[in-house]
Amino acid sequence: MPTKSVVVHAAAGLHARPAATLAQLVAASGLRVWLARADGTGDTADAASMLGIMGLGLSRGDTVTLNSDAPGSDALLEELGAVIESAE
Amino acid sequence: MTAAADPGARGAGVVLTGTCVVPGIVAGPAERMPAPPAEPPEAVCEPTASTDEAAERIAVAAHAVHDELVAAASAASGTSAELLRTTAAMATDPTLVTSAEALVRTERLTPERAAWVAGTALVRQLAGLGGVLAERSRDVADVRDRIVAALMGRPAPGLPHPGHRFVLVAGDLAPADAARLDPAEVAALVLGGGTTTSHTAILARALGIPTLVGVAGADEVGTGTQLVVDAGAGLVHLDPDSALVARAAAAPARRRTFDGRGRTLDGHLVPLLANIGRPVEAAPAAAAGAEGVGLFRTEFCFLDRAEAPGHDEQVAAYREVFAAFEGRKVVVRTLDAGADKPLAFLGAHDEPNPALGLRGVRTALFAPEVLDTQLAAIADARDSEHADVWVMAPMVATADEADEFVDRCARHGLPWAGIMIEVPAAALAAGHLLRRATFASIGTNDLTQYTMAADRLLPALNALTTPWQPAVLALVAEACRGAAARGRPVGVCGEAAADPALAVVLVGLGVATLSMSSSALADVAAALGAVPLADCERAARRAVEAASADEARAAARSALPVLGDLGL
Repeated sequence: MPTKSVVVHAAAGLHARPAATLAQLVAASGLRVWLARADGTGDTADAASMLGIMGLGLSRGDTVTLNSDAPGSDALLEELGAVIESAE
Repeated sequence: MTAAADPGARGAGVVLTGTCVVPGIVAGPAERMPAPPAEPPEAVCEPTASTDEAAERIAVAAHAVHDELVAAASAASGTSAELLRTTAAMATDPTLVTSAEALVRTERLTPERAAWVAGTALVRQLAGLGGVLAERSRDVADVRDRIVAALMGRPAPGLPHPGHRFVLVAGDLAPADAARLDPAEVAALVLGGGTTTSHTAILARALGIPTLVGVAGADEVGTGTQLVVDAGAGLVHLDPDSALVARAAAAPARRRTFDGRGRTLDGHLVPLLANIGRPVEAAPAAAAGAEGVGLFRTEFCFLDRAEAPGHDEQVAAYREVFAAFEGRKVVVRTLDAGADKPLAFLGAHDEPNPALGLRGVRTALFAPEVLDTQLAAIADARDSEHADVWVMAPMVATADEADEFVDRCARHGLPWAGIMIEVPAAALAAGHLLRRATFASIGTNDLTQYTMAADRLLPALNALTTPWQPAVLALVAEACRGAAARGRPVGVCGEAAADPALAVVLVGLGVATLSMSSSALADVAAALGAVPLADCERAARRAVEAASADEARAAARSALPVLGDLGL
């Protein structure tokens, strides 16, 4: 199952705008992707949901894991990871 | 509740008063914002109803709200459009829609109740996270209300579109609504709540929509009531007589331009400067004619950070502003931390009373390296550009603090070192504070707050926190006297300088320069240009001698009839 771990760098955390970008990319792909906090809390959001992503309350320095059960989703996870890491 | 339905309660000749944010006089019918729907009752679907069909109605309503917000976004531009598109995306968000549908299918809740419960859970979740995410909870509540209204067949809450120009009457506006204000549609804003420094006020000023906040009785003005809003005078006339309507109609159009040289009718020069909070605001301010920058707030560099920004990063930010004002004055205010702007790297987060705590120049006492880094960056940025760079410290209270700041600036090769006067003590002892500091700038927002012991962010205290308070004006006069004895210039930066009538009074009190949002420059220049200096001084004397803020404004305005002619 494709997975990818990334760190949030944005000073204000993962806020509305990057969350909206992620959700749009996932929705457009038609693939199922989950975004999970990598801190052991098990908090997970549907990555096609902007409000779900915002609800994780990710701050600068938090590590998150992207998962998908869809074969061939590696390229999408790479793209999503880049959005998270480059968000300001 | 409506005046139209009950003219006995709010009949002809009734006048409401409020605090001016944007001057101007206009006539028009009132329009109220449709109130958001009340919480739907805890009801379940009829036993015979199909929960699948009921659940499907939620997605239909969500898509209708989404499409409506997208349509509004395409009619808007810039940040308004972006805000609306983000809000539109929230309407069809899978978390919101799926959890509402699940509540219908599993618990048989009515669609409107389910949408309410699911939306409210998300609002609470975001609000609990704090920071920028909590600020978005209001947008989620707005989306929830729109979906619930659509499901109940009620008019969408938010801005009305009656097809004619109107005066918008409301408590306060949600950011999503404020972002959609269109001056072509909204002739004036009358808000029961709000403050002169609120988000709505800032937007209204940028759009040039005449605006009053803190209007007592605004709740009882019904849709369709004819109004004349004389914002500069702080008045809303209900069912005005025809002479008043004619006067409003004859008032000059709002949009003026500034020729870049502030002066009184008899040629006394009063440089009009811009307040800037971010480097990107510098070029538009210069284009609006600002003769310089009277207040360059530098907090933008420091907020939301775990550590202080480095030297090079600061130099780059400051250069952008200095470059836009080549050959002109730029007054940089050093970091104003504390109170409502706490910073992670500048300690003291457990103060019982932050407004009276370690803030402004006081933070330099225990973290001098932050100030030294900033002064070095300002000096280096100055050396790379060609602006006339002055530096000032916020929240100075004593002559020793002022001297210490001057010494630090001198060590970095910054000879123009001044102080902000925001504390009554500094106004009363201005002569001492300016024994070495070369200029002063009065921050009227904080000076008013500290003089009246009233938090300027509380709408309930609007009547106290107006700079028209005679005690505040007396302190301005005292600061000007103390500074004049030393031959030092005093400027004003703050909301007071953006009020054309008050700007005239400030000049009459001895203020040499005025710094404001660049959108206010043209109106202030027009007011000053219509009045000789002697009349400024006469209006100032009357205002200082008044017994209340309302009397001060009325006395000054009656000494300046030309303001009415200008529609200010």
